[in-house]
Amino acid sequence: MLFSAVLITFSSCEDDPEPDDNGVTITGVPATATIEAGGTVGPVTATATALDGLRDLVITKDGAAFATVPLTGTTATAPFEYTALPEDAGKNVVFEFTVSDVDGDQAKVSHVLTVGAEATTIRVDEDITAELTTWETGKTYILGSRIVVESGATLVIEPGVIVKGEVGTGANASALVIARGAKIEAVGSDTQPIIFTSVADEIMPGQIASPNLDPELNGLWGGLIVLGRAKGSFAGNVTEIQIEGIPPSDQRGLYGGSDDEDDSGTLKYISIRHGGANIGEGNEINGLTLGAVGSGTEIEFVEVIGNQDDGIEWFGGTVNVTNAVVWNAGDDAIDADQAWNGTLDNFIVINAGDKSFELDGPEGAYVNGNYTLTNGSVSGGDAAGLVDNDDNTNVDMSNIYFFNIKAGQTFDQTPTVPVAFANFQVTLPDGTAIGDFFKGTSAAATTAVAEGENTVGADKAPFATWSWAAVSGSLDAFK
Amino acid sequence: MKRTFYFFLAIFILSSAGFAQAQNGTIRGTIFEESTGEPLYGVSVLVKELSTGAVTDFDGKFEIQAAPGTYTLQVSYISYSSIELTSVIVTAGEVNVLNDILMKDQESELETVTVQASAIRTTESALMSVKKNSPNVMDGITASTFRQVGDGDAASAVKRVTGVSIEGGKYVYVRGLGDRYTKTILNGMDVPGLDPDRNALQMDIFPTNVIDNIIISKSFTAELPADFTGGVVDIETKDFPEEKTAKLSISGGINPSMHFNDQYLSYEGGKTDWLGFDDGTRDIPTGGRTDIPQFGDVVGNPNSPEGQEFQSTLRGFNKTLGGIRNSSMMDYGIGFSLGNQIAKSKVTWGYNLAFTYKNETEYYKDAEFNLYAKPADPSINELEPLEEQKGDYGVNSVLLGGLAGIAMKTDASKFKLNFLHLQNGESKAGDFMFVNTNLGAVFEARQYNLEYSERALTSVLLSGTHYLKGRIWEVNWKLAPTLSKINDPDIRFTRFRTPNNIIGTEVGLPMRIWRTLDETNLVGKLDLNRQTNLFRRDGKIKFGGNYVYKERDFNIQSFQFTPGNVTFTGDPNAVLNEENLFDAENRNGLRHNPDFIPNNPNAYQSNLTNIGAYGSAELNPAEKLKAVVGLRMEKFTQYYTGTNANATIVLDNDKVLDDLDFFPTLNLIYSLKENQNLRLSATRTIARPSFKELSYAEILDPITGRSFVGGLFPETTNGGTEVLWDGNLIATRINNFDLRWELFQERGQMYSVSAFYKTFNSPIEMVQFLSDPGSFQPRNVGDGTVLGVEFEFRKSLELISPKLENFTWTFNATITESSIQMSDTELRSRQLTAREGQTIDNTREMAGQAPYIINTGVSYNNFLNGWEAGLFYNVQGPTLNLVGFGNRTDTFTVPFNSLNFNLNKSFGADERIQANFGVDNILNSKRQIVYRSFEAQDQFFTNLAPGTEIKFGFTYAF
Repeated sequence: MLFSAVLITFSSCEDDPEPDDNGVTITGVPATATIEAGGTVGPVTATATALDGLRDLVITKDGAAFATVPLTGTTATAPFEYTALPEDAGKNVVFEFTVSDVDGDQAKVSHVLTVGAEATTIRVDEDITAELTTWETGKTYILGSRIVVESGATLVIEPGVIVKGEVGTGANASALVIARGAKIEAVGSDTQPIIFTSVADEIMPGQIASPNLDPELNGLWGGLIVLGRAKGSFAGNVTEIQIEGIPPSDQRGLYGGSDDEDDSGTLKYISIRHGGANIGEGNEINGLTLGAVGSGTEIEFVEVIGNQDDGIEWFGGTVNVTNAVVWNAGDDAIDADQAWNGTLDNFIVINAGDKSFELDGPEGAYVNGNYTLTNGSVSGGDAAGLVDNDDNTNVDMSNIYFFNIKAGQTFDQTPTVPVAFANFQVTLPDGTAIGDFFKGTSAAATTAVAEGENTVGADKAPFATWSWAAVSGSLDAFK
Repeated sequence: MKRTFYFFLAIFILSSAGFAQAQNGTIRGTIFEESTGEPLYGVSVLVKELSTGAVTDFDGKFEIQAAPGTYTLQVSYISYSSIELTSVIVTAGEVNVLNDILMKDQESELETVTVQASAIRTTESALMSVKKNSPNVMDGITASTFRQVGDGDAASAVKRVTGVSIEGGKYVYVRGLGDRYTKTILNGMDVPGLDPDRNALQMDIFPTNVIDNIIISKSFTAELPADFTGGVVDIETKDFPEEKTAKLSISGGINPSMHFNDQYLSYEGGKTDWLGFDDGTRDIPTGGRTDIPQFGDVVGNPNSPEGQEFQSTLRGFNKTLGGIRNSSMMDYGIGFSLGNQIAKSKVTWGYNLAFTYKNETEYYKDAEFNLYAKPADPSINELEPLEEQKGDYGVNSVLLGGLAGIAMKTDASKFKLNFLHLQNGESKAGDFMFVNTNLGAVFEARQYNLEYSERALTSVLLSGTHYLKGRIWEVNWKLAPTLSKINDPDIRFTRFRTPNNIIGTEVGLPMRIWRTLDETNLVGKLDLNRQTNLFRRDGKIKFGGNYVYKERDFNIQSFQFTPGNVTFTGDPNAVLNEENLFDAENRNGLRHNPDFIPNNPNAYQSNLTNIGAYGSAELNPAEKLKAVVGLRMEKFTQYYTGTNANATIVLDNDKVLDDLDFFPTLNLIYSLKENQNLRLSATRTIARPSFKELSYAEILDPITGRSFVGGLFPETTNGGTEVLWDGNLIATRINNFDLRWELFQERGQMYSVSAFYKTFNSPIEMVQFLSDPGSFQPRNVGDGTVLGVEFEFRKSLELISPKLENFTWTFNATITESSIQMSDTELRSRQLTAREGQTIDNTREMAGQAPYIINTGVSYNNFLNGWEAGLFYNVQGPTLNLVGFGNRTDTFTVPFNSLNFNLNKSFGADERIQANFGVDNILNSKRQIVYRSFEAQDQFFTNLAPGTEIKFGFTYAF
C-alpha cells in the first residue's frame, strides 16, 4: 500500500454570486494527532468556505505535494483519513491544507501527526496463508493459538526473531505448525539464533539466556511441528495419519505421503524452550516434531530445552538433523518412530526425564532400512533410562559417548531386526561394569573410559555462542 | 421443595378424611369388552344376595358398598354374555378389587359364564387383552410381574419382555437394535436422557414401586413419536389406585464377593453422599470461572495478585486422589407407598404416593480393561496387547425416588397431576495396575481413579381425558415439563510409573474433570378419538398433535497437573501435599493447567423443536379384518451453539437440522379365529442424530484416551483430494415390515410368532478416523437391513399334569440377522490390515445388534396359599460392540448367561405381609467384552465378575 491517503466525497452547494472580493476559510482540521505505527488518523472533516467560489484544496505532506482536490461552490466539506506508512514510524508528519478561491485568496492550516515507534511485539492470531510472510529481525511474534502455515504458504523467520507461544493447554496449546506443502525458512545465525519460547519468558531480541525462567520449566506452550509428505510406517498401513498434539478434526495435522525428497524448508540456529503442552496421554507436543519430513528439508543447529514431552521426535520421514542439543526433556530426549529413515549427526543430550533415547520401529508393514544416530554425547543425569529399543527398532548407532549415568539407566535390548551398534564409550559410576548398563549386543560395542577421556562423541563447537546450553555452561563437561 | 411438602400434606389430610367414612366394605372393579379391550360403559353389576348394584362409568369402573360377607356378582349388558362372579369377599373397611372382568359378545342366548373372583386377580391378563386388541405389535410387563420376578428397577424388569435386552445394566435395546433405535418415554411423553453420550434414557433410575407398567410398542402407529425403530418403551407411573394401599417394604442383598469384604474400595466423599448428591465437597475450586490466571501468566511473578489467585486455586483442589480399602456394606433399600381413592357423589378422587431409597454396593476384583491390536505383520494372526489395565474397583450407588400423584374423575372427565423426582449418586474408586506397550513406550504403572456421578430427573405431568357426546368423542391432553441434571463433579485420575513413581506425559498427567449436563424438555400433546360406524362396523378415527421442545446445556472443564520438578512417593494422597505445590520458592513445583481456556470445544448448548401432527383411522372393512391406517407429520428443527477446538468455527444458535417428514403407517389385524390374530404392518420411521452428534464438539475422554468428534467435521485423505466424510450428517429413514401370528388362551396363556424386516437408509454409526483410530465420529454409513423372527409363548404346565396347573412356562426368543454396507473408510481400513488369507466383505452386522435374545422361565403362582416362585433365564448373543478400525479389531460382548431365582410368600388372607427371597446370577457368569480377529484367540476388552447375589425383602401392608 503505497498511497494510503484517502479523500473521498465532496459536497458543494451553489449560492448566489457575490460581486465583492471576499476571503476564504478552512476549519475542522485538528492541529495535532498521535497514532501508533501503522495506525490511522481520521476521518476528520475539513470545511472550506469562499463566498467568491472555491477553486481547490492543496495538501502537502512534509512540504511535498500530496493531493490536490478541485472544489466548487461556496462551501465544501472533505473527510480526511491517513494511514501511517512504515517510514513514518517514530516521526512527526506535517500536513498543510491550503484552500484557494476563484480570485486567488488562500487560507492555510497545518496538522502535525505524531506516529509512534514501530511495534516490536506482534501478535499472530490468524493462520498463515499468504504465499510469503516474513517475521523480521528485532521483533517478537506472539503465537495466539495453534498457528498453521498452510499448504502453499512460506514463512520466513529472520535471524534474532523471538517467537512466543501464548498460555494454553490441551487443544488450546499454542504451537507453530508447518503443514504439508508449506515451508518454513527459519535461518538464524551463530550470533542471532531464532528463539521459540513462552509468553512467560521475558527474553528480548539480542538475549540468549532467559532473564526469568529456569531451563527446567516446561509445558508453558506447545512447540514447533513440521509436517511433510515423505513415507512413514503407520498403524493400519495407511499412507497418512494425524500428528499427535493436533485434534483429528483439524485436517492440517495430517502427515505422510510418498515423496521422500519433500522439502519443508530450512531450520538453522533455532532454540525451542519451555514447550510441550499436553493434550492427552500419548498425545503431546514435542519440542521439535518432525512428521514425515522429507530429505529436501535442511535442519541444522537445533536446541530444545525444558520440553514437557520429548525433545526431538521423528515420525517416519527421511529428514537428516545435524548439530542438535536436547536439554531437560520432560520425557525422552531423542525419539524416533514409524520407520524414520534419516541421520542424526553430532548431538548432545543432557538430563532427559524418561529415556535419553526412545527408539521405536515401524508401526505398519512399510520399512526401508535403518535410521542412524552417530557422533553423540549423552549426560544421563536424572533420566529413567538410557536407550529404549523394541524388538523391531530399525536403528544403527555409532560413536556415542555416555557419562554421568546412574543405576537403572540401561541400554535395554538389542532389537531382533538387523541393527548395527559400534564405538560406544562410557564413563561408569564407581563399582559398576559395562554389563550393568549395556544389555544385549550393545555391551560388546562399548568400552569404558575415564570422564572426559572419550575419543568418540559430539563436538560441542557448533553450539558455542548461540545456544543457551553453551552460554549457561551446561556444555562445559562436553568436549 | 417446600411446595412439594405442602402438596404431600394436602394429600394426607385428604386421605384421613377418606378413612372416617368406612363402615361397610367396598367392591370395586373394571369391565372390559373382551374383543377390543375397551372399557365398557353402562354395564349393570348386581350383588345377587343384596339386590343392590351399580353401573359402570366411562372407564368401565364400578363401586358397590356392602356389609361384610361373601357374595356373588352378576354382570350383565345387552348383547353380551353375562358373568357370574362367585366368592366375592367383602370385609369391613376394606376394598376388594376385581380388575379385568372381560365380557364377551353373546354367542348363544342366555349364556352365563361363571368365574371365581380369585381367578381374575392377575393383572397380566389385562395386559394380554390390551396386547391382543392393540392396533400395533406390542409387549409389556406389569407391576405384578415385577413382584414375581423380584426385579428392583425398570432396567432389570423390562428385559423379561420379548425381544428386549439391557446393555450396561441401564439401556434398553428392543429386538437387539441399539439404543439409537429405541425410544424411552415416560407416561407417553418425551423425557431427557441422563447420559450425554446416548439417545436412550437410563432405565435403572426408575424403581419398580413407582411404575404401574412398561409397554413396548414394536410397530409404529401414527399417534406415536416417529423416532424409533426397534421399539418405544413407555414407562407408566402409578395411576388411580383401586384400593387403599399403604405399604412399607425393606429389602436387602448380599453378594459374597462384594459385601462385607474388607478389600472394598471407596473414597472420602461428602456428608450427603448417602442421599445421592454431593454436599459441595467436590465443587470446582474456580467456581467454574474461565477468566482464571494460568501458570504461564504467573510463573514470572508468583506473588502478584494473579499469582496469589493461581496459588489459592491450586490449593483449593481436594487432595484426595486415592481410595481406601475398608469393609463394604450389603445392599439395602426401603420403600413406602400409599394410595387410595375416595368416591364422593359427583367426583372420585385418587392419590398415590411412593418413596423409595436404595443403597447398593458393588466391588469388582481383578477387573480388566485392555487394549489389544492386530500386529503390523499381516502374517501374524494373534492379537498383541497395547495396554493392559487390571485391578479392583468399588461402586456405591444411592437411589432416592419419590412420586406423588393426584387424580380426579367426574362423569365425563378425568384429570391427573403427577410429580416424580429421582435422584441418583454413584461413587467409584479404582486401583489398577497398568502395563503399556503401545506407541513403542513400554512401562508399568499404578493407576488410581476416583469418580462421582449425580443424576436427577424431575418430571411433572398434567393430563386430562374428556368424553363428549356420550362416548363418541374422547379427548386426551397432556402437558409435561421435565428437567434432568447430570453432574460428574471432580473425576480424578492419577497414574504413577512403577517402580520409580514418576509422573510424566508418557504415563499420563493427573487429571481432574468436572462435567455438567442440564436438559429441559417441554412436551404438550393433544389426541382426539371419535367412534365411527364406517362399513357398518365400529371403528375409530384418531387425530392430534404434539409439540416437543428440548434444550441442553453441556460443559466439561478439565485440568491437568504438571509435576514440574516434584518427586513422588507413589502415595496418591500425597501428590497435592503443600511442599509439592508451586509458589515463589518452588517455581517449578506442581501446578494445574486448565484445558478449556480460552476455547472450550467441550461445551455446547443445543435445542430442538419437534412439531407433530397425525391422523389415523381404525376401521373394520371386513368382518374379521381390522385396518389401522395413518399418517404422521413431524417438523423437526435443531439448533447448536458451540465452537471447534480453535474457535475457528463458531455456531451461535445455528440451525443444524431442519427436516419435514411424513410417516405413513399401515397395520392390518386379521382375526383368524376368536382368539387368534394375524397382524401385518408396514411403516416408515426415523432415527435422528443427537445434540452432540450434530456438532463441532471435540470431547476427549481422558480415561480411555478416546476422542469424540462432532459429525460436522469432514475427513479427507490423499492430500485432501479424496473426501472420506463430507460433514453432512443426516437422519436415517427406516422402513419397517412386521408380520405376526398370535393365539391367546384363558388365564394369560398365549403363543406368538413374528417376523420383521427393516431397511435403514444411511444409518449413523460411530466411525473412527482413518488418520487417527483413537477418534470416533458419527457418520452416515452405507444402507443396512435387519431381518428377524420372534417366538413367544406362555403356557400353563397343566397340560403335562393337572397338578401343575399353577406352573407357567414362559419363553421368548428373538433371532436377527443384520447387514450394513461399510463406509469406504472402514472397508479400506479393513483391507489394509487384513491378515494373510482373510477375505474382507463390504458388509457386516450392525453395531449393537444382538444376533439372538432368549428369555425363558418357569413360574409358580398360587393365590390361595400365597406362594409365588420363578426361575428365569436370559441371554443375549455375541453382539458387535465397537467397530474395529486400523489395527484395532472389532469388540463383541460375550453372552451373559443370567439365571435368577425368586420366591414370594404372602401371609394372611389379605396378604398383609409379604416376604421374598431371591438369588441373582446363579451361574456366576461374568460380564465380558472381547477383541475378536481373524483366527486369533479372543482377548478381553473388559472383564468383570459380578458374582452371585442373594436378595431378600419384606413388605407390610397397613
